[in-house]
Amino acid sequence: MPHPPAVRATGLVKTYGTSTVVDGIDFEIHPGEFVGFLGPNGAGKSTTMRMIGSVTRRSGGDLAVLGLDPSTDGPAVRSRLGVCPQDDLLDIELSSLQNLTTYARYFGISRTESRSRALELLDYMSLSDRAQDRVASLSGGMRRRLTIARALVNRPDVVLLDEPTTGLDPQARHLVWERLYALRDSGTTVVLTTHFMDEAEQLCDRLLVVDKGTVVASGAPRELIDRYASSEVVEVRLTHGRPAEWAARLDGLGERTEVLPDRVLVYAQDGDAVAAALERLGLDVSSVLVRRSSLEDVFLRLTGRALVEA
Amino acid sequence: MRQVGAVVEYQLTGFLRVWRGTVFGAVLMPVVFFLAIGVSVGMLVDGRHGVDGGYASFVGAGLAVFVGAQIGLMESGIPVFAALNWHRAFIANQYTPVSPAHVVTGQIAFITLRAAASATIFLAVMAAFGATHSPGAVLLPLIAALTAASLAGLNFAVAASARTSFQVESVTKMLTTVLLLVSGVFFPVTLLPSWLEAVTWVSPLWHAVELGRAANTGTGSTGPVLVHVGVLVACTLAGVLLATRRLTARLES
Ligand SMILES: Nc1ncnc2c1ncn2[C@@H]1O[C@H](COP(=O)(O)OP(=O)(O)OP(=O)(O)O)[C@@H](O)[C@H]1O
Ligand SMILES: [Mg+2]
Repeated sequence: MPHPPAVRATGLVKTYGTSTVVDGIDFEIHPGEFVGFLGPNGAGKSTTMRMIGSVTRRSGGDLAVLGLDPSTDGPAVRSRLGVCPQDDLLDIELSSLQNLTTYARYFGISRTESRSRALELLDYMSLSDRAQDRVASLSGGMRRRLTIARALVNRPDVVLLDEPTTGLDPQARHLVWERLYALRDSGTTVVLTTHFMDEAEQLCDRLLVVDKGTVVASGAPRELIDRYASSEVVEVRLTHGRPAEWAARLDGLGERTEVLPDRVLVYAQDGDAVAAALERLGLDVSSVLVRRSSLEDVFLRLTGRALVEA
Repeated sequence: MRQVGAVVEYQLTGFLRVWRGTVFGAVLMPVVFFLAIGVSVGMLVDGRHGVDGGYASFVGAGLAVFVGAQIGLMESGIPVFAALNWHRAFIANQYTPVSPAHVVTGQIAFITLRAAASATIFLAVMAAFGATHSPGAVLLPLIAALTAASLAGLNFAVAASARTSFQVESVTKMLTTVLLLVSGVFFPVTLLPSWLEAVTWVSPLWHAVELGRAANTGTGSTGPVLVHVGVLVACTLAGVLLATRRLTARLES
């Protein structure tokens, strides 16, 4: 049965002065879906998230969030969203607990309920032992977890997470992943941005790859890999010289090559055949690695090298 | 209304962590002024220049109101700039159903509460030195609160538009000083040259000081009191509107 989309954007545009940072993008996000925005720095991911979050006005196009227009129904939209902005925006003078309770009160949640939800969320994010500490004394990763906790305090229907796991140690990242899985299982719609390909691949049902303010590809992670990357990749490192100097000699070995600062990637259907051909070239090879292609390869292909430099 | 309450609560939560540090500027300084100028100078000048009821009570009423003005200006300056540019609580608030109008109203409501609290302490000191003259003196904290509200909106608007904290500090200090000088806190404005006396009429603080003195001596007549209250309420409303517009513009940029 057809649900109205949680978010629907048509020809969405955002301009700042003369620069167009979101350039007419279209997408739909369905209730309960877990969608990721990927793209290089400056692609327009955060700007898009802020427009969905109804804190930045769109400059053109149409946008409906939970069936409402953010530019006219901002407060109603925001009351049903949970947002983890790219910057934490916590009050560092207040304790972790106070950050959550005062924020909850902004959603009209009663004082006792605010407190109990705050304590529950601190526990959920493994921050219970820091509940009374000033945020100024928390580490960067702890603040990030607190910001994610804050996004959930109003039990939102749609959660927007802008790089939620940036700055987290591996344990904390896995903790957050687990919590996000649980959110999805509870039927919450989750939209996130990330620069971690493994995160995108594991968490998201569907990905939207944006570059220079437009959607350049979309689909399930596996679909994107099948569509935009050959099935295997050969990573070649030589003992001497910079890859940019010798990369040309690998041309023709596979379907395509990508030059990185420390290695060259050769894309091919049959990686072993490339490795064998490479051996025949008699180069001073320090390592050759044949692997299946991943989302990262899709990335390099779709958005050039920008992401690697970032 | 509920959203405004939440904003006040947030402000109060932060204040309760730091209030000790604010006591000196907000309460002790005016008390020192009161003792140094009101009580001591009072001994020299009492009964001259049409100062009713003794100089200590004259200055006391003026300073009680000035306590409100000072808090109104201080707390709508740098704290607002900080909430936009340093800790950025106002930016975080954008993600909630609370609107800029709620934020402005809540912040100014909180400021008036603080002004009333500080003026109450000041009033107690005044009373201890016999500088209160009528039961009407209990209105002084209320008048101080209204004074704070009448000035906070304008300074909030400045802080919301400013690019640097230096601009905010300069405007806050300038407004505080100029208002203090042209509002007859320490001497009757009738002693000013007549052209400057006219300037005092546009100062919200002058209206507040007149109101405070009338309350303290119990000598207010209805007409002037209504005008003074009217000016202060009008400044408050205009200030809230202006601050809301500036904050909205700042958040949308
Ligand atoms: N308030 C603003 N005024 C002017 N330009 C802006 C503003 N906010 C963002 N931009 C510009 O819009 C573009 C997109 O920024 P955005 O933050 O959306 O990128 P992003 O995809 O989230 O990047 P990142 O991965 O680095 O977070 C950038 O070029 C940025 O400089
Ligand atoms: Mg971003």
